[in-house]
Amino acid sequence: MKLQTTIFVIWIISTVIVIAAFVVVYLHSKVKPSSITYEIINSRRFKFFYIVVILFLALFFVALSYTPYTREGKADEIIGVKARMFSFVLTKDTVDCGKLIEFRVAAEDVTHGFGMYDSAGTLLGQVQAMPGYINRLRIQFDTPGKYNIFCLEYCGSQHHQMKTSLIVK
Amino acid sequence: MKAATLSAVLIFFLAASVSAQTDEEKKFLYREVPDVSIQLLNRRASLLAFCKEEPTIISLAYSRCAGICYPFLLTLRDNLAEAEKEEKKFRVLIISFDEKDTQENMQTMAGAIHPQNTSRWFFGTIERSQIKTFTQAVGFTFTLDSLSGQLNHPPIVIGVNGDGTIVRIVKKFDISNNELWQVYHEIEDEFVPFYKENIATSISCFTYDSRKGKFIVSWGMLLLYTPAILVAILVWRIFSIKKIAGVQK
Amino acid sequence: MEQTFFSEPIQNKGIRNTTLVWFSLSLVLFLVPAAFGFLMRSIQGNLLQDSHHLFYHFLTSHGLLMVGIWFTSAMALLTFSLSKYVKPRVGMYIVSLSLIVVGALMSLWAVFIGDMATGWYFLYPLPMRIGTATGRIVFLSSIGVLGVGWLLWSIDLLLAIAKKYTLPETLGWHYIFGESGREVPPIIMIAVVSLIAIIVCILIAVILLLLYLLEIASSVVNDALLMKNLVFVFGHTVANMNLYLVIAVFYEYFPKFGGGEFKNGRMLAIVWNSVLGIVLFAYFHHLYMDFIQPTVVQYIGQFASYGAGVAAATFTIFSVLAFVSTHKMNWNFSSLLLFISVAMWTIGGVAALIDATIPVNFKMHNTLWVPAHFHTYYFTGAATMILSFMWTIACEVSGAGEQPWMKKFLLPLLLAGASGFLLMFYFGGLHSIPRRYEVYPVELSEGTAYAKAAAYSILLFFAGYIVFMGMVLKRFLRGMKT
Repeated sequence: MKLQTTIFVIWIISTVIVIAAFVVVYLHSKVKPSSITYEIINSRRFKFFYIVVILFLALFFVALSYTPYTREGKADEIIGVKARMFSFVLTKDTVDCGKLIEFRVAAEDVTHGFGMYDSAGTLLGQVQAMPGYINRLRIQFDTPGKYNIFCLEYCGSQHHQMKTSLIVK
Repeated sequence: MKAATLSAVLIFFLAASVSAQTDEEKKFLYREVPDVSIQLLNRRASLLAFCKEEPTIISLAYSRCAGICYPFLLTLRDNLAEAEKEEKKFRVLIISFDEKDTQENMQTMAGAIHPQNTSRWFFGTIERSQIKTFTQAVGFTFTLDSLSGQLNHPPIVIGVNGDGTIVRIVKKFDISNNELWQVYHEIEDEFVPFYKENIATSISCFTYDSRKGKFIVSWGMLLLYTPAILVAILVWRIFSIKKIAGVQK
Repeated sequence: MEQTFFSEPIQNKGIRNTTLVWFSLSLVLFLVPAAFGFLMRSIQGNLLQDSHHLFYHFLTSHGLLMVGIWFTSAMALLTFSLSKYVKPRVGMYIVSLSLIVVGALMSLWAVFIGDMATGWYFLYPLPMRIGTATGRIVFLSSIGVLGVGWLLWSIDLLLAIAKKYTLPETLGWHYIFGESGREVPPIIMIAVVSLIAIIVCILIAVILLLLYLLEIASSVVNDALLMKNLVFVFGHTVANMNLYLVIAVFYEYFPKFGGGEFKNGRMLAIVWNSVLGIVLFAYFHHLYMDFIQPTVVQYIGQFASYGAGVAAATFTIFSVLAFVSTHKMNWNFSSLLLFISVAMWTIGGVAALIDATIPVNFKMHNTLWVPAHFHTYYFTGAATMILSFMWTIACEVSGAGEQPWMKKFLLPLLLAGASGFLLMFYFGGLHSIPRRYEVYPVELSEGTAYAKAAAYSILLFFAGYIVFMGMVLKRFLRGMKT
């Protein structure tokens, strides 16, 4: 399952839980006060607090090992990308399947975004193109086909037309 | 509203004209150096094979140049000597793009430049029929001045890493030390995340030390934190005003 | 009326009428950026052909005016509510509001006449490249004028609080260190924390504007990374504090619907003091995709974002649920709407925390997932809380109660419209549809269908909102006369 779908499912499940919790609480508020008082529930806050903290800490450390920030080691191939109003210039527009490609993304005029989409229209990853700096984005393409690159940072009146493509063989 | 429409149209045409240049500019970086054959002072070689031996800095020059070539190569020589002190290991290849240059001319040029570490400097010519192949592959253009017979051209530094891939091309009249240092790092596969000259007047959080190849915290960082300090003082001042009588503890 | 929440603030005629005038104005003004939002979704949904060239102008103005209006309403609501405990100056209140109205009008002029379609966040160096020279100056000045309005107001509120409380008291340090001291209601503590953060980010905006002016006036070139950091400390924190301003009022009044109160205490004080510590670091999540930003800073951003989530979940949300489940609540239109907005804040917050996770952000940043989550906690969360308080105030100042059909029909109508509109953003995020696109490319054409559905949902919401607005305005008018 692609990450976007997983995220969406997680969010839907959380939303259902949240709505259920609010509805249950709402219904409870309509009946006569039970023996459980606010003070009793309040005393359980710490338990809840620890659970939430542990959950978040676990998520935090798991997430750190999956960041897209480029670590040491060499990519199989480097492609230079220059973004400008309103086009991308790539030093190469065809790459081999299975190779680790490093995109070195720079901007000529204003800040742009470099978003890599597969042929099904799923965002595989992105990086910002900021004037003055070079951002490195590493992607390994596992399926041959046409990949589209769209600008993902608002850059002016033709922002939505700023795109190019990459062929993976 | 008219202004908005007008500028939208203008921007559109501007964009159209910009993208038309794309092909012309496309594109010299991250490709292998062309496999042309070169004649060095003591041997004949393939440029690609030569570059794959060690990281190489290539510069183009011609022997009868009365303009930028000699002063530029002398600067490069001095800068390189400095880089060598910091244990940067690479070769320098000066090749001529002038059809008229011969081995003897290049020998004379080598003598004039007189690099300290002669074993790392190479002078040579490109096979005549392949000059164009090479200059086109790196986006180098020159014109013949029919009056003086001189070739008008910009100075160029081409950084090639140990894989024979072109990683930086600096092509302008005032190449700074910082830019050269960035080339030295790039050809050793040390990523340089910064491509603009540090502009002295600009304020930033980090400045890139081209020589060390590292970002260093700059005083622009203060701009992010001074407001918090100022506000702490301000809030402390606000709360030290006289309390209304009767509400003080 | 069986309950009177705001009887003390209503007694203060100056504060009351100024608040009512602003609230009335904001209810009507809201329709402008809301209409821009509707137009944007209509353009994206191919329902509208003629205004295409204005899409990014709508986008810019929508963002600026929405935050401008709701932030100011939150400040007004806080000022009104605080006047139960302290005495803000009516003069300063009016001056600030006037400045804000001027700033808002200037921004409209700059965007539509000066052609500064830069997006609300005017990401450097875009404002230097587009628009007219006058437009650029007016645009930046409009931000300046808004900032001055909010700054004077924040300082005045702090001064009013400072006349009664000491700084350690307002920050609840006597609770933290277990010392004896007088009781400080949570509204005071949360207000002080929020106002301090607001002043910090206004000063940061001042630096940002000065750097822009420096570049306009001289040949200095600014650093894009620094400028981006500055604009997001300001923009993110202002939007965040907007919510906290409302939460301050919420702590004071929501429990009254169940006949209780939220008392200040050690844990609450610790939480809000730590909020003050982490709030300025959460904004880093806006720069996750700038790989050039030092990695440790990115990690701090994720940590701070999660921290804000922990604080919200274990305190405000937990308290609301615990309170409601143990009290017999008076469920009227206001309290129901407040309760729902807490749920929406939670739902949007979960989506936001997901997006604040670096590997997720890598695939979701600048897609419609972003407007999805912030519209959920900002529009159906914070703004809706303000609307429900406006309703309570409207009923109390006019003495006219609510009609039973409001709970039965108006509320579901508003909720259906808003949810439909939000859900389309979430679907857009699921399908990697970029945000801020005038027209969706053929490869991402699902975006068009979602935009169309969103536009229809907005109409549904509008139908309910117009009725609501009419009823509130009628009551405000009656209230101002008494």
